[in-house]
Parts: sequence; C-alpha cells; structure tokens
Amino acid sequence: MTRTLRLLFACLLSLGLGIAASSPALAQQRPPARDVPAAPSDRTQAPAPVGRVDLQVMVVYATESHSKVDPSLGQLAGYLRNLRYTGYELLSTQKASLSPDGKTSFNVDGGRKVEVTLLSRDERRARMRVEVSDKKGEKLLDTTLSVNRNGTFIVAGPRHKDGILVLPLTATY
Amino acid sequence: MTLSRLQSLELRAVDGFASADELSELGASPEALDAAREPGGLLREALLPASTPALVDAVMATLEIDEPARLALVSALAVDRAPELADAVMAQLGVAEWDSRLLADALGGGPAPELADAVFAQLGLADPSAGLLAALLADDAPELADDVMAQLGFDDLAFAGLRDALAAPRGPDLWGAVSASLDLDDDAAAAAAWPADRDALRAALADPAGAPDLRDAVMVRLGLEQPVLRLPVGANASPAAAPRSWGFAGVALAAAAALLLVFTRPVAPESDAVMAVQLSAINNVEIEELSVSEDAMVQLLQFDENAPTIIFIEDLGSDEEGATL
Repeated sequence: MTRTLRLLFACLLSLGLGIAASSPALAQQRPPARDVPAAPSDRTQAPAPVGRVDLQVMVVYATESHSKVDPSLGQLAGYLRNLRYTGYELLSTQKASLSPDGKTSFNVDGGRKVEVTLLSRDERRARMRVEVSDKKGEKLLDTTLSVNRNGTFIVAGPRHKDGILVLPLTATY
Repeated sequence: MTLSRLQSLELRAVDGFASADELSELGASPEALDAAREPGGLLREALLPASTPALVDAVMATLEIDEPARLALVSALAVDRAPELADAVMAQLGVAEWDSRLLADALGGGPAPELADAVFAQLGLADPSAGLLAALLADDAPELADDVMAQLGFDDLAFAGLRDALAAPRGPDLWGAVSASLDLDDDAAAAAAWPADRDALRAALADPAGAPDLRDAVMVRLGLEQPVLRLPVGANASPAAAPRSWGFAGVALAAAAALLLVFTRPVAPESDAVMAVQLSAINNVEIEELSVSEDAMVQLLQFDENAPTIIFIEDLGSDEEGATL
C-alpha cells in the first residue's frame, strides 16, 4: 500500500473520530465537569425543568444469607458494605419528578411506603420531607432535610425477609 | 383613808361633777396651787407614800438569810466583774489540771493543740514517720513505679521492651513476624527462593496505594488482547517495523468503526438495570427535623466525609429478629 493511501485513510479516520467526539453519543463518556456534581446513574436523562426535582428511589435488599453484590449498585456498594451485610440486591428503581410543594409516594417491598414532599429548592440544595410508613400504615420515620444538588442520602433498616431494605434517594436537577 | 375637803373637791373636779362654786373654791385654795397644775395632783400626793418603806430587812428576815450570807450576796451583786467560777466548774466536772489547760487553750482560741501524737498512740502507730504513714503524710507523691513493676514481675529487660514499644512514635515493626509466618525469613535459602517477591511484597505493603494501570488486565479479561488501533510512537513508528497487512486492515477497521459511530444513533441504555450507580462526589445532608415511631430507634451514619448519609431505622416493635448494623 502506498504511503499516500495510508495517509488518506489516516485523515479519514481522524475526521471520523473528530465528528464522533463532538456527537452527544460519545459525549456521555466524558467525565463530568468538576464544578457541578455529576448526576448519578442515567446520564442520558435531560435535566429537570426549572423548579422541578427528579427524585430516584432505589430499593436494595441487604442480607447476610449470601455474599453476592449486585453490580448495578456501582459506587453505592462500597458504602453499603459498612453496614456489615454481605449480600446486596437491587430490587427496583423508581423515579418521580416533583415541583415545589409537590408530593409523591413510592411503594416499597413489604407493603411499605415512602412519601416525599419537595418543600423548596434552589441552585445548591433541595429541601424535602421524607416519610416512611410500615405495612400497617404507621409512620416509621418522618424527617425534614436538605440535600445538595444531585446528592444522595439513604434510609435503611426496615426489615425484609432475613435482612433489611436500604433505600438510596437521589435528588437531581 | 379619809379625804380632805380639797381632795374631795379635786376628785369631783377630775370626775367632772364639781360645780362652779366648788371649782372656784378649789382654785382659790393655796394648797392646790401647786398640786392643781396637774389634775389629780392632791390625790396623787395622798396616795403616794412620803418615803419608800424599808422592806429589805423584812425580806431578809423572811428568807432567813443571815448577815454573812447577806453581805456576800450584796458583794456579789455589787461586784464589777463576773466571779471566777472556772475552778468550781472544773472541779464539778472532774477535769484535771492539765486537761483544763488544754481545754482552756482550745476554747480560748489559742493555737490548735497538738493531738497527732496522742492519736497515733491510741491507734498503736508508734512511729508515724515510717512506712506507709510517712508516705501518706509526705508532701511529695511517693515513687511507686519500681515497686509496682517488681510486683508485676517485670524485670528491667521486659519492661524496657514494653516501654520502647509503647513509646514508639509509629507502630511496631511487624514485618519480622509476618515474614516468618510466610516463610520469608532472612536466611540465605529463603532469600534465594523469594528474592524479588519478598521485596515486592514488602514494597507493596509499605507504599501508599496509587492508581494501578488496569487497562491491560481489563483488555485481556475482555478477550481484546490486541487493541483495535494502536498508533505507533517513537521507534515503533517506522513503517518498516509494523506488519503491513495488520496496519492497512487496522486503519480500515478503525475508519469503519468511526463512521458507524458518527452515522448510527446510539441506543439509550436501560438506566434502571444496566448502568451501574454512580454517585455525586458530594453528598451532603442537613437534617432539620427527625422523628421516629415509639417502637423504632434511629441512627445517623456517615462513613466518609462526602459519603451519603444513612438514616438507619431499627424497628424494635417488629416480631422478626432485630436488624443489626
């Protein structure tokens, strides 16, 4: 093959890579900007409209009966291991979009319910009220808290089978 | 007692029953001039005795106090200073002479009596300057370290080792014990058998964790032992070094892959199941209010500075076995 032909192919390749790099598809793989905490999990999701907060609740089953860790838990597994449970399984993921003063409810395994009310949000933090009820409808937890933008907090402890449920909640906007 | 004319007139005047003639007669009388300055003056003079009767002799006779006793009582009542009763009281109490002196000094506010010797004598501690008592009474704390170590059976050698270990600025060197357990002793045979591995192990244990390059291992694990495209650099960049067939095919494949990426719409992955969770670098929660049911206990956990806060609820009212951290 002549040198000219190789050069031509190299140029085509560079052109193709350059166009691909500017496309949204490959843009997903870039590391996020450091000044804004990256939205977790689904990066293809468009940011919430102005004033709204996208809430994601994961239902994780933690047990000591086995030592398998669901790979989809990603970074979360590293923190959950501190709870001394050996096995973690992602049961479900639920999402909702809330506007200020909006309320949503998530049904969790074992007949439990997680209700979240978005009280307010600004550029940096989202303030919400989280209520967890047991299968009898009695309130187990009632807390008002604020979390940083795209931040995550976890509610853990409700019993499930021979272990507990761990509920990471993430507020993205 | 019979009242005179003037006394009767005065009495009637004081009671308000005197007539005008009687009042004139009373006012004109020379005896009433002085006494009449005060209403009832004449009556008062009639009622009051001219002199105090002498009752002392009568009282003394009644009390049967003879003359010497009377004189002594008079003297005692007339004396300027209180009589000295201490000796009589002490005699009544049966307190001896020297005791009374001590008591007097103590009561008199003088210097505190020295009772230590008497107390030690009572306790049977003859010589308070010796032994434990001396140590307790000493101004400085006694040196007990040597005695304690002797009681614990620590000889100087063992103690020195323990002391050095405790005082060491960093943790004790465990490599010797670890290497012995791993059969990595420093003798020649072991050194010959484990030359590089031992040193590598030691270095790996001592060095802080870095960022290992996993690319090659990942590629091998994925079955991509040879990269799809490798741009030669430096000496390997010469066309003569690269196999011609692989170079042409590699470039062609890369171009085709690039064009496919450009003109093919990417499929959004299933975020629920396929993509692993990636958390924000900062996860900061500020809890304003928190309440739990009466049958539950709550703990707040955060295992790292930017780790997600965990609100851990333990339902104490459940029939199931308790959840533990």
